[in-house]
Amino acid sequence: MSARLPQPNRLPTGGVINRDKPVTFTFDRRVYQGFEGDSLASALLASGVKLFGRSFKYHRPRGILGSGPEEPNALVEVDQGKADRDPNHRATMLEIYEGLETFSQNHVGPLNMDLMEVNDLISRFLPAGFYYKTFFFGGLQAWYRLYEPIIRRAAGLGRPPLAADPHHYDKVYTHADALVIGGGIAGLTAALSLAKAGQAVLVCDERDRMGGAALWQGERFDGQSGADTVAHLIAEIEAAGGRVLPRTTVFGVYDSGTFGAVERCHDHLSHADRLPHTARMKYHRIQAKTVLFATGAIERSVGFKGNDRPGVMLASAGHTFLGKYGVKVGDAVTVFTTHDGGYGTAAAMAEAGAAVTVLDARADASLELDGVTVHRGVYAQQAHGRLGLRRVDYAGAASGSIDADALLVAGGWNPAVHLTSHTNDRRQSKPVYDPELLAFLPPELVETEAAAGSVTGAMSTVDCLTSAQQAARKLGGVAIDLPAVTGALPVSKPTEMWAVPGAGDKAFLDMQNDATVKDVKLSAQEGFTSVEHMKRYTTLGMATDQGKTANVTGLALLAAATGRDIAQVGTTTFRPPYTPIPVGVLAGHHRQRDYEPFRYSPVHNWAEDNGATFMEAGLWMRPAYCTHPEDKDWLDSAVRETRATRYSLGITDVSTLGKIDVQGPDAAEFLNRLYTNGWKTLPVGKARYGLMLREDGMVFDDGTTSRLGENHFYMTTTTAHAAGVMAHMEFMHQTAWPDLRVAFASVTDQWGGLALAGPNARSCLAALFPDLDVSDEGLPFMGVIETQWKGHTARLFRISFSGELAYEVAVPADVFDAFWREAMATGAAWDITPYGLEALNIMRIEKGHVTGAELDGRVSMDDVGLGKMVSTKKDFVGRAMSERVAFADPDRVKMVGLVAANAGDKIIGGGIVFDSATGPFDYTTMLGYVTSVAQYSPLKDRSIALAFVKNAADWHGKTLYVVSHVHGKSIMEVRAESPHFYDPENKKVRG
Amino acid sequence: MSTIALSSPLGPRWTPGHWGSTDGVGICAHHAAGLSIVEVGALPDTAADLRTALNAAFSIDLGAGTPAESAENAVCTGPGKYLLTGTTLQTVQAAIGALGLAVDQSSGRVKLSIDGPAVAGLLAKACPINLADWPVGAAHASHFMHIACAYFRRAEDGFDLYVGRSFAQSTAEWLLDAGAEFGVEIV
Repeated sequence: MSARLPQPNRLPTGGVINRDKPVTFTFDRRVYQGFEGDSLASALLASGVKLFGRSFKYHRPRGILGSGPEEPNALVEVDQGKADRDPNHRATMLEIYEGLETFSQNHVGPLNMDLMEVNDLISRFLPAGFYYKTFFFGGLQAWYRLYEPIIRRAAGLGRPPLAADPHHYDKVYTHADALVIGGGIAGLTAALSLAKAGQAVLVCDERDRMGGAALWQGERFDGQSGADTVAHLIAEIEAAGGRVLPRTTVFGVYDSGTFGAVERCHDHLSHADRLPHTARMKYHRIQAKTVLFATGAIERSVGFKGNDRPGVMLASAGHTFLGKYGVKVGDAVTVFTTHDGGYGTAAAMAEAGAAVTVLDARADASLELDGVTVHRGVYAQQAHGRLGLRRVDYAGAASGSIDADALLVAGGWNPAVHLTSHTNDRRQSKPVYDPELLAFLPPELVETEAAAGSVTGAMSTVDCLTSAQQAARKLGGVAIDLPAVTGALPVSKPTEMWAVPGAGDKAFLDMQNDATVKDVKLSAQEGFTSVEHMKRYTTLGMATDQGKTANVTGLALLAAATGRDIAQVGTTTFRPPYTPIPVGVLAGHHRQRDYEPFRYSPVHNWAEDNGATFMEAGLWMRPAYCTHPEDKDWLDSAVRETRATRYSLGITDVSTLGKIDVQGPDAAEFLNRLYTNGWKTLPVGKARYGLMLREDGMVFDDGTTSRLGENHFYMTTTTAHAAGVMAHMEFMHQTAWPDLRVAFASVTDQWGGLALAGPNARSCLAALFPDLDVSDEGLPFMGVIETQWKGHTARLFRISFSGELAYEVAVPADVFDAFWREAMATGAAWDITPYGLEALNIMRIEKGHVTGAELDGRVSMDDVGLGKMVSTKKDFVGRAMSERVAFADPDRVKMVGLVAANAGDKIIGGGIVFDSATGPFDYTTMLGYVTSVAQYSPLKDRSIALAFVKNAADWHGKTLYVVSHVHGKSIMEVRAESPHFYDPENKKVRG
Repeated sequence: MSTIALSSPLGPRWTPGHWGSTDGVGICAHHAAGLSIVEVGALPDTAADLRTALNAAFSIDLGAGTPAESAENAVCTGPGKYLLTGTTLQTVQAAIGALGLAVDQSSGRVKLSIDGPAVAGLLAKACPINLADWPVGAAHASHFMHIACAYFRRAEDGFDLYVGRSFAQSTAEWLLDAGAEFGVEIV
């Protein structure tokens, strides 16, 4: 846009903005212009805008209070389409760029005529805590149907995005010897000292530019301007190997030198300038050996009536807009101050051409300013002007009214101690109150921590620089020459004035939550005297700003109301994040499909090409079933696969089973101690089913282990517990039995495995390995052969999970796809059918084999009918605890099979088992619960299940009832049986 | 060995060519297909002897301490544990005898090599270890984002990554995503 739009409050010179580059943007669809380097707040103020938003509760018109991250009022939405709507940006932190579209929030109707402002008219009926008192009338139904819907509609700040966040976020591990939080003059000075000592220094600052107030407040350093000095410091730090990150908020401090920080990479750039493939934000997980807090201080206001009117702002904010952005926030400016610092602002405003009046709360103040009227011993009593300040009433030693369009309040400074008290790894981590400074200071810092600048309570620039030098030296920095500061602004300790006399209603402390002086007094009156209770009762200090400008004032007033010292009241607990951060940046790359890694079998592609529908099994993608054109649904597919396996030949991928190679002279002894059954007598060339317990005696995992050599075993685990078993083995070996001469390695990924199952499995195997004797004699049940397949090692195991005659064959994963395809081609003679987890589930339930559904951490060996596997000749993990009396309790639930009484019924997984069809159906009468369900068993021509019930064997042949409370309390009649429905004599698997 | 075509574990996105930023090539990435990898692990009291045996058999110098504990073809993944490349199970078994475990991991581990000026930027997104504390010739068992990974620093800007085969596709996809801002050339 070539034509310049008016910026009536922009001074012709001044500021650190780029006046050569105008930037066009919108606010509430109206077009404005600012300059590169402007915040949305500064650009709108320059354009004459005073009204930025509405307060949360009373919908009072609000302008700008601060100039940085502390801003409670001016929250805006950045809206670039439904998929990219971002609420609650602080206008003071949002950098404008070409094409930026912003909207005010929290109003019904136009911003200047918000219909919800009616809340302000009835505010006397809506004091703190009214939620807790008011909504009893009408009972629970009134709450659900009337009150809660209304409150829910009214609640919330801004509108949430309607679609998934389209942005990309990155997570980055960042390391430093020293982390300096805050890039003001103190932080940069300390960083230089540390960098020159050879430390890898990282400086983070949440603002768009380093330097803080030194950039613009007019002081000179060894004769240089602040901006030049800052640039010089940055150059020196970087030359010494340091790293300087602007727009980076350190939001959390964690134990062991860990810090969380968010770097805003894109939000200040126009869409055209955003580089493809780069993240909107980066989450830095910083690991630093030392930390230096140079987080500065945040100015506070004073409680007086109307102190929230648009045009009333912190003195530092007015000064910042003038110095940093060249924006004059008013022509008739009143400065209400409790200390000398207000005079610096007043002088700057007067120099910029404003008519300035100072209201000094101190009767004994002595500063004078040319051309500025000073009233001493007075305070601002009330500010007038609904949509913009018009007049200020003052009282005290004198009283009167002043016409004003800006009221700048200098109520004192709150050091930004939040980050210094995030961790709890010191003796004392709460901020410490200094009654002289009327401020909370950082707690006693440990040897790896230091603080510098105004966060320490230092008020003058010289003191800030000195503290920086000292802090850096504490952390190993070198001595550097501090510059001589000229043109320093006046500073002094404030006089104590948290709220003016008589302040109450409409004297706001927390502007964002509309918490007033009166609310704090009410809190104390009603017994909420703990600062934490007061926070919850009044909402003071909540929401996006977390009360950065309000907390200390609120707790000081609470102290006064309860007759305590401020130190006794203390602060609320500061927790991360320091300022709001998008949830997306915490997720980083890992969301949706990339939430976690997937594990793929070597034949995943084949399965995909052949109609497999996958299901997640842990991280693995496993085929659930393969759909044929004639299949009506998934169950149809699973039943077809089951029948094909039962009657001819099925093939399934078992690559996902955990596999652990165990070697060493004590390998057998190692397994002996891990498993409940014995391993020393297992011959080479044989496999054995093993059951592993946890130390508490509960079943942990099961699987087969084969002896490949005298000192060499090949263990398999369930897919789900593979990593857990490996960790368990490492733990036991390293801590309990370090003397055992054994070593083991996960070979899960080395081997691809398939199972051939069904009456024709042997024929198919023989065809695949024509030179091998795979007869019942050559490869008996639980036999193992290691051989070759086309030059690659192949391991053949005669084991069965399906209950059929079955073999598992493992070959190296790189050639498994080829082997699988050959097995498919070879098996075509017997109509080989791939089967997935659903068919496998049907078959193993028919066989009574357990999986993770049964081995859920609550069952013993006896519970699953495997108590006979316990060796009495040895000790093993879990043995002692497995002999607990409770395990022999006859009321203990044990596994049983269930068969639906009616052919059309489908037993519901997780259903509760009772012995009565009439109830009551509750925990006093329940017999047990269903763990696994086959919606249809071809064997039984109906639904079957495995369940755990009390006195399981006694119920065999009897009628029970499965009730599902989450399916409309459906009641299903079932018959209890042995869980081994299919081939209980194991004739098939041994055939 | 037969001439069976080995199936790639890296998934469809891993194809030779350029990925991401077109401003240049920050990272060259390479998968060593068909590489022979053998994992060895010492018994509790044989770590020193195992090192000696490996040094003798493969003319390397695995000392007891970083970085000499590793070599490009013998990456230390834990106390007394190594991934040996370019050799066979039989050769290793002959070299170490009964000193420890030896298993073929040629199919079980996937080696990805990354080189280039942006390697540090890429690894900062994936690996929690400070590169400044990681000299050339050193190895670490750590993770690549959420995936267990063994790293070997082959050169100032060159690393070898070893991940489990079943995780290789996710590793490849995440590596390309993380490297996109720098430009990745798959060779």
